[in-house]
Amino acid sequence: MKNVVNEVTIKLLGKSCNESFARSALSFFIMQLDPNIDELNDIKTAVSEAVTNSIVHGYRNTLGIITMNIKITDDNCVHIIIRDKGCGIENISKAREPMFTTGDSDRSGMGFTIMESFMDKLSVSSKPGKGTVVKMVKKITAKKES
Amino acid sequence: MKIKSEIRGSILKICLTGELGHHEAIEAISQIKDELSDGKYLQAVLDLTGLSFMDSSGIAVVMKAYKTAQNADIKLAVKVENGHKKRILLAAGLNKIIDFI
Repeated sequence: MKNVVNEVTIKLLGKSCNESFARSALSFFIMQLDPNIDELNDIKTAVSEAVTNSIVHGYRNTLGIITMNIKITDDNCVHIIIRDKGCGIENISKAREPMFTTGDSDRSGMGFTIMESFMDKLSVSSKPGKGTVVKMVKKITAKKES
Repeated sequence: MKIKSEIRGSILKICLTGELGHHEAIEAISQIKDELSDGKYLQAVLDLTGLSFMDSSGIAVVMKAYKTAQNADIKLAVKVENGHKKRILLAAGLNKIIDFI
């Protein structure tokens, strides 16, 4: 990783009403990189998927803390880590398959697929009973100076 | 998120505005189902252009709307502009079963 130029860590209670807060907080923080609308929507969507996964799958019918860490590096990259201490994922490669879900019928099973296609890098680590860590990176296109 | 409906002849237009994530999805699915279920329309348009944000919850909302419309013999189309919302729906292959306009 290049040098970190700014960083924020936010702790959220895993309630679904906090998903929009996570997206908004992320948007405000990465505005300093002046992303275009597509880049902003891509990152917001990926974070929304990760936070939703922690709430729906990680904590299921319980409430726990989700930690969102965002770093901006001097190579114009946004590094995001979403961490929960929920039930974890038994089989990560299965969970990353498109259309696979352990959730209710209002879940599409496309969360990891969307994160993967909207971000430049995605890694998932998890221990059953301990929790899940999702790391994502996206480079923001540098604007030409006028 | 808000849902508003307009009726033009036999066409029902359901317009979603605001943000559609997991928190809003269950309510959206239920409201859209209510709008479509009485079956007095031949066609329906699910208009997503007013949404300022949508994640993969939108896939489940569109799929549920499609199934409800199918059961009520209504032909459903989805109105969505190019951009992240359309990319999400395309990632799930919904263009293979639903017309995008």
